[in-house]
Amino acid sequence: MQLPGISVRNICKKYGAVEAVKNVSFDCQSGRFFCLLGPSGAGKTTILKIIAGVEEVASGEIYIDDRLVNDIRPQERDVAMMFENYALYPHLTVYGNMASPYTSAIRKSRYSPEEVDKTIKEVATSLSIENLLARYPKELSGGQKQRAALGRALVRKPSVFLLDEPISHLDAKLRHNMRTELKKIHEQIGTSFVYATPDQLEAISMADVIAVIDRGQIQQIGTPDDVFEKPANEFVASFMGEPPMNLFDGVLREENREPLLRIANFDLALPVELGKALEQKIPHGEVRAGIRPTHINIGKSPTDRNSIPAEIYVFEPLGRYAIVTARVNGLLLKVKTRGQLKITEGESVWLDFDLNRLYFFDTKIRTSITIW
Amino acid sequence: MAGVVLKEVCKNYGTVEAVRGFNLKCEDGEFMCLLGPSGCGKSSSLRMIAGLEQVTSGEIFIGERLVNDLPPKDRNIAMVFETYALYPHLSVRDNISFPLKIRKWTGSQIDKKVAEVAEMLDMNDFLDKKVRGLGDGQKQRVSIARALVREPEVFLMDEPISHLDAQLRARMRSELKRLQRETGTTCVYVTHDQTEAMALADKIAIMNLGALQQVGTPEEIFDYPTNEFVAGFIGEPPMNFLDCTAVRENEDLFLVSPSFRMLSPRDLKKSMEERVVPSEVRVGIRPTDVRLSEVSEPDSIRAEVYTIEPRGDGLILTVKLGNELFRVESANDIKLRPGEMIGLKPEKERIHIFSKSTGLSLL
Repeated sequence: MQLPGISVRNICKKYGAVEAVKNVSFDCQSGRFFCLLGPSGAGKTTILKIIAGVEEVASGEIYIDDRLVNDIRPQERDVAMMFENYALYPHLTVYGNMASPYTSAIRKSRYSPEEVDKTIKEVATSLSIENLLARYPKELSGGQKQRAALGRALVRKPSVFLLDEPISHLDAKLRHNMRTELKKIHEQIGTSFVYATPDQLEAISMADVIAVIDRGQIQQIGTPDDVFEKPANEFVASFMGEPPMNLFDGVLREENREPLLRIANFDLALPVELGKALEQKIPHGEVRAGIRPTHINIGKSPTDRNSIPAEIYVFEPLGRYAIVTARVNGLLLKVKTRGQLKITEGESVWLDFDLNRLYFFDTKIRTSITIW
Repeated sequence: MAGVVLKEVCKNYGTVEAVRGFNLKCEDGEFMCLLGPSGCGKSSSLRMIAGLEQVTSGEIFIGERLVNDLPPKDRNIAMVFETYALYPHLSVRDNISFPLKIRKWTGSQIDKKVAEVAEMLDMNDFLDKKVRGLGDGQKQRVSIARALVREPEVFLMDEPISHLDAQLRARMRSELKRLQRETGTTCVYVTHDQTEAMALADKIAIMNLGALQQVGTPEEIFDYPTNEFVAGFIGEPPMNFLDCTAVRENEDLFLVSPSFRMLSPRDLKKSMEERVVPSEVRVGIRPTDVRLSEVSEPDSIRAEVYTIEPRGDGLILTVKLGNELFRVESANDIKLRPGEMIGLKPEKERIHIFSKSTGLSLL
């Protein structure tokens, strides 16, 4: 039994020899804000087009609200799309734009003018643009145009909204505001959103569920918290977070019954339980380790034997916090510091890792072997 | 090594005043960022320094030399732009060597220089590969290497990393900063990204609509913006602005709006004593400069939770103050829902106040 919302099962898509989408499956429950997150070329737009029916699949199934829609035309699939350009009709008012889906003959016969009017006003109110209905697109701000475009798509009462990087071209300030607005709109109208973006911050701030994609393959599906705190593999770990997670090679060994993790020629003494648990997973000792820039502390003097001596490589002040790049025997680590610590390039400092926040990945297949 | 000085530089494109009366002093060895939204005049200014555009009026000095009438090749500058303009069919080595071959350097001189620069930019792995097979980050490094070998007096860069993906961009940013420090070469760098400017610059010249708004260190611009435009442009998330009336009551000065009333910071009161200050003001508060409290706490501003946006290592809380939206940066462990009421406590000494009519800071 399929649940209401969207389900995609084992979809594959090739463009010539290139596998754009490789065996992708996910569920977007009705009403959820679902993000497809990945770098450009990962396959996000292709997946949206497949759901919309604008692209065909080589294999796999697409379900919308319990219906298998593979052979159903885009117009009949109950989806609405919003891509980067709003494409509002400049010669029509906001009202006219929102009425345009109902001007086709088929729709005219199904819906009375009163019904259409009622729907338009309801949707406009839910988007807080009821006072803008008489305006023309050129009289609207960027944010207002966004809402009008959403409104035009929403009047069709779709089961699901497909959004492809709808705000990436806006300037930083407007993008910020639109993010807040889109999240609010979603909360207010309750339609499922499937939203594609390469911006991990956007995904984390807006989504209920995130599917991280790379080169056509799903890397992980989870809540923002899941993908950020418990990345399934090295790709997800390094993709989430700004600055990205520091990743480096490590060797696990034991000396005098103490578990040590050797990184960049420095031996970190690990808590005994952690060492034991890791030993089981890494019998040969080699591991990929990671730590987020926010989980490293910089001090002007060593705290304990685990304080790693380092040299400041670059200092980037960013107002209330700073990004410091520190060099440990040739390894560059990024640290995000809060507060007004005075740091100068070339200075010798000590780095304290929060050992409880270390991540571990298999050296060969790069999946997470971190103990949660 | 040389500084760059602009004196009353103007640029008109037909009737459009793209750059108006621009005065700037960039010291020798300084990393100067020209920052502003698109159309502010930053790229036009850079192109005039490069000699790619003629000034409409004004003077440009590189070092002691007035360069207005010198073509780009005689200005001793090197440019790094967003489009690399590399020869795709040639190797990285050949691309980098090109400017030196033109100058008739000997083979061994060229080899030595190329090796030096390749080492600096960590390019040894792909030095002999053809440019067309390279990734974006690599191509950008080739572009920078080619500028480096020319040993210019000034680097001119126009959004050299804005098109790279986020992770690569952050990495290249620190590399650029490091490089500029190592070479000690003056750099004038154009960007619309305030984070980039804050991270890289010794000084930021922030522009809007063709006019310079403020010049200062990142700290100065961040902590002491001279007007509302600068205050709202620098800082991520952006500063919140609220319309208020400054009201005097006995000895005290209050900032009053439909949604709250608070005692003004000391500095504003002092300003008002020293000069006539308009009563209609815009109060600016950074999202990082607000504490959250219970609604019942005294001295707190009552607000309704609008949305919560997680950020990984914290969250952005948007609240409603009357009809206005207001952002607060907060730690992860806050458990709140839209519709709930909370209290806001802005840090008094970090509040900014601007005249509503002129936009200028009143502090």
